[in-house]
Amino acid sequence: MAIFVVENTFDQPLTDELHDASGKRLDSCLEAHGAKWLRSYLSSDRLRMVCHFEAPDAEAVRASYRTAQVKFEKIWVATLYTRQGVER
Amino acid sequence: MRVLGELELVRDGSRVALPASKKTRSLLGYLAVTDRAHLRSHLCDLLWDGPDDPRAALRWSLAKLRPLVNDARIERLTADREHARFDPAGARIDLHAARAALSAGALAATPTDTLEAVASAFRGELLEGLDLPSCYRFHEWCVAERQAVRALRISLLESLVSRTRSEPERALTFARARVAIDPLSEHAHVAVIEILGELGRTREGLEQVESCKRILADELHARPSIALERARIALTARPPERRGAQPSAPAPTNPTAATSRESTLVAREPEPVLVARDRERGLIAETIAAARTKNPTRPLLFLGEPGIGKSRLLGEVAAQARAAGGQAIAGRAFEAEMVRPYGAWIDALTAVRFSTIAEEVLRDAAPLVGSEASSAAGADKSRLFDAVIRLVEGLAAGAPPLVVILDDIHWIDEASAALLHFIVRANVPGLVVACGARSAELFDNRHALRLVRALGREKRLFEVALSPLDRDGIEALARAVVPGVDLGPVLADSQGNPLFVIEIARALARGDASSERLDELLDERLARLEGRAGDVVSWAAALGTSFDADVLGRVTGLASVDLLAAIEELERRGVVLASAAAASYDFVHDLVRVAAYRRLSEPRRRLVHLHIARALGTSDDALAGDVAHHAAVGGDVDLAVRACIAAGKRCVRLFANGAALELARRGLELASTLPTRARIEGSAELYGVAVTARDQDLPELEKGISRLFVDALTAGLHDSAQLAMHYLTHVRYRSEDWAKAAEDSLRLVEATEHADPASTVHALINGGACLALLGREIPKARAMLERATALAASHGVAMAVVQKRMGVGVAHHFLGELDEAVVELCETVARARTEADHWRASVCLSHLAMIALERGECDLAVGRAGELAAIAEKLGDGSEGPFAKAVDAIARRRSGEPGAAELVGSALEGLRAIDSKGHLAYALTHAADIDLAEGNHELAAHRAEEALAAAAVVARPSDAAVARALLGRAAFAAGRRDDATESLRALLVDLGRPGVLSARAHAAASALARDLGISLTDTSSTSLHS
Repeated sequence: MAIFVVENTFDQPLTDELHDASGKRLDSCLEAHGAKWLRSYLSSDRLRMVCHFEAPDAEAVRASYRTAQVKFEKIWVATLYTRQGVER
Repeated sequence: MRVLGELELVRDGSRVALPASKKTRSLLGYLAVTDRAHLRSHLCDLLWDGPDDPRAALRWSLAKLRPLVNDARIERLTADREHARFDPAGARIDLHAARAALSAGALAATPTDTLEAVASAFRGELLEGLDLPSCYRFHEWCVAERQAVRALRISLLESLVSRTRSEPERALTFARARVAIDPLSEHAHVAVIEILGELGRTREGLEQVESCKRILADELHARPSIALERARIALTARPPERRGAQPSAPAPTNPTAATSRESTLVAREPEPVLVARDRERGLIAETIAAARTKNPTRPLLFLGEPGIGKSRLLGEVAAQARAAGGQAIAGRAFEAEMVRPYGAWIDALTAVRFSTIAEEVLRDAAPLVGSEASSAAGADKSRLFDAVIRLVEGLAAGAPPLVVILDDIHWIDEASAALLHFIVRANVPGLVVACGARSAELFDNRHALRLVRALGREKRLFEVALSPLDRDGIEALARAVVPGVDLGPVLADSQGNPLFVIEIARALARGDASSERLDELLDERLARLEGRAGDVVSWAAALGTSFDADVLGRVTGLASVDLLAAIEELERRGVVLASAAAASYDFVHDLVRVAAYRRLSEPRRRLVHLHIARALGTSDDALAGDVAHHAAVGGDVDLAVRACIAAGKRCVRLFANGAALELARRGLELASTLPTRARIEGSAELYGVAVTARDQDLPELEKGISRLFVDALTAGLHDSAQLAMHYLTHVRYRSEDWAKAAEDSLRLVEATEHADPASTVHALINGGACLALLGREIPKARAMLERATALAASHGVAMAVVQKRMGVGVAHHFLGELDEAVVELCETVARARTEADHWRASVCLSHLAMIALERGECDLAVGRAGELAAIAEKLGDGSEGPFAKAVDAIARRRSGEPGAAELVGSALEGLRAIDSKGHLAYALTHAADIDLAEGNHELAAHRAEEALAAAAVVARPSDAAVARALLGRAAFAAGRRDDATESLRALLVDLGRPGVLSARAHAAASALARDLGISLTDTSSTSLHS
């Protein structure tokens, strides 16, 4: 499993309700594709978000977003750097 | 008969040996305590819920018990066709005597001395050691009965405290015993503090106050009450401690601390020598010699009572193997309640360095050799077992003989037993398997029993029953342990049991008055432990026969320095031994562990287990089975249920389905006592474990999940209801009633969201389309899409037509209904374009392009690829553009355009870069097919191999099957017919299951079969297997 990051921007501040609704739609697709949402970071103005996934390939995340009709700007495979070292 | 403590029968002043089978002893205890007739069927349900013939097991147990309790004149154990009962007929049963003395009317009239005598009859918990957690009914009865006996004992002790208050020293003994039974009772602590105050032992009193406060805070998160505060004030108001007062006693919740003043420089207890056993040693030598010359050997199974020397002989097998230039790996089965699938094997294999073993083998064996990073998807149990065989072969070939030792297999789990059977049947040259088991307890474990019987039937087993040592053996062993020891008591009391011989000899050497009982000797030895070792040993005993130093540190909260000192003391005193696995220790014998565990009172045990469970937490899946056990004993049901879920999921990952089911059942039982929400949520996950572990009892499973579904709906827990629905559908599919399954799942979806048909339609379409795109469960996908259409029509709700028709078109493609697929997909592209739904348009175009390629319509494929490329530009970042290029390049190459080979190479590179493994696998298989047609077998095989790996990662069985078929064809073309046959054989299972593989995969398999001259219709058995 690799780590993927999805970048998003919104025209209107993202509400919790909207976030939950997209999350719900995404979850079943992600599961079907063998992918897993790990966490998201929403900016304080609620106009930018970065989401963090674990998936077998980038297409799994991409296809899940598209099937669930959730928009995204960029999806990229990531290398995780922590104090413990590098995780690819 | 004594039941207040370990079950004992005493006749004419001497103890009668009881059957070793725990269930048989439990039966006697149950009949004696309940004191009435029971139906045979009730007794079967109580203790033999599971094996093939419970009534035969009951008959066997009754037959073992009759001669022990009946005599020529009196028949105490009576049984007819329907009933069985135990009638004391004049025999004294300690519990009944205690109850008579303490009955409401009798208590006041009973003299204090009599009460004191009754109190001394309580040697421990009721039927101590007869815990059978897998027999729920007996377990429940036992727990409730113990509670009642504990209450009886508490009222007895309270009565004694109040009667002896004028003699504080005497009262203190009872008050302390009262605290030890129930350390959570503040009232009991207060009594001890007050008595200590009266004795002027202020410092001890204050320590007791602190101990009580700590227990209240740690275990109950409670603050002390005013009563404790008053007692503390009363203490400090007293004059200072009297001179010559007794030294501080240990806190009552701790086991007795060490009293020994022996030098701390005592040498480590030596390994016991091996005496006598000439026949067994000869057998071992023959077996090792045969293995050394790579002749086949039969596994050795040493059987006998605890302490008879099984493990010592296993050690001898290892020693002889090493002396012959070979190596030994060893593991032991874990107590059944821990549920550690492959526990014994993991122990044995993680300690080995596999420098000469191929990486691929290690990857397949990953779950058992210390890493859980399993190989690519598609791994299964047979692959795991094959990998272990290859590991063992590798080790045995490198330095024969290789000895695999598995001890305590009377506790073996189903998965470990299956692997052991598999390895024995593989007849690996140079391998010796040696096991140890308690003969009587084999009957309590059906996996062990089945294994031993099967190997016996196949004449693959050497069963060696160990008899007690004769006089010469006893003398030799006792002298070897303690030279010059007085042999009289050893010969008189040891009954030829080597462990007993050693313990008696050591006790004599210490100058202890020798006890006649092994357990008392062990108790005495443990009581002499110094420093913190006395505390630590009980925690370790609660952890199990093997324990990890890190875990022990975590649960005791001791600093490393103190912990190491304690463990060193335990090693020096011959209580524990460092095991082969890093930082892990074993009790020298399970009887020693049992003795250490016995030192904890039942409530204290609960606290210890609770603390262990919480300290271990649920972060480490590998320990989840342990946590489930500790939390259940400790009474934290919520944690126990969560741990059962985690452990169950892990078992499923390790293909230990039997253990997973056991955990699911145990978890469901526990969850039934939780509050509604926790019960429903926990049960839903536990049913998930049962379903994925392929529980065979489908009707029962269906009933349970249906009930849960209704409960979840009633409680408004829609997520759990959805989950229940999901598993119910799985069960239906497992029954292979596809139509009914689809129908049921749809009905349930509607029921779940009855209030909102629009979202039901939406969910059905999304789910159906998703499955179709993934090429999985196509019949289900179709049923969902059809149902959505019908539901939308009947409720007049709008439907995502593009999404639905895309799903339908893709499903047609999968099933090879290409004309229908083209119609559906073309119309959907048009509609999606009008709705500016570029992605769905691109998906439909991708499939149209694939269909053109598969039909060999190269010009059309180039055209579709062009359309796809145009749409891909609008989509931006994605796999559509690279896939369009790949289709274009492959179509050009097929039509023989010059320079197209390079285009294919760079298009594949593009798909790798965008990381779309499904598309990559598809394109690679086309490229490989062309390479093969052009006679380039090597490149074809290389590409098919990459396609297979990519398809496995994203779980695309059809693409994987095409790749495998191409690999087979490449092998055939290269003259490797066997490899080609093997590839086809690997495809057979999926080919035989309807709806699993696409039409394209079936066609690829047929092409391979044609190459081999086999008709695919009759490949099922004979032609391939011959």
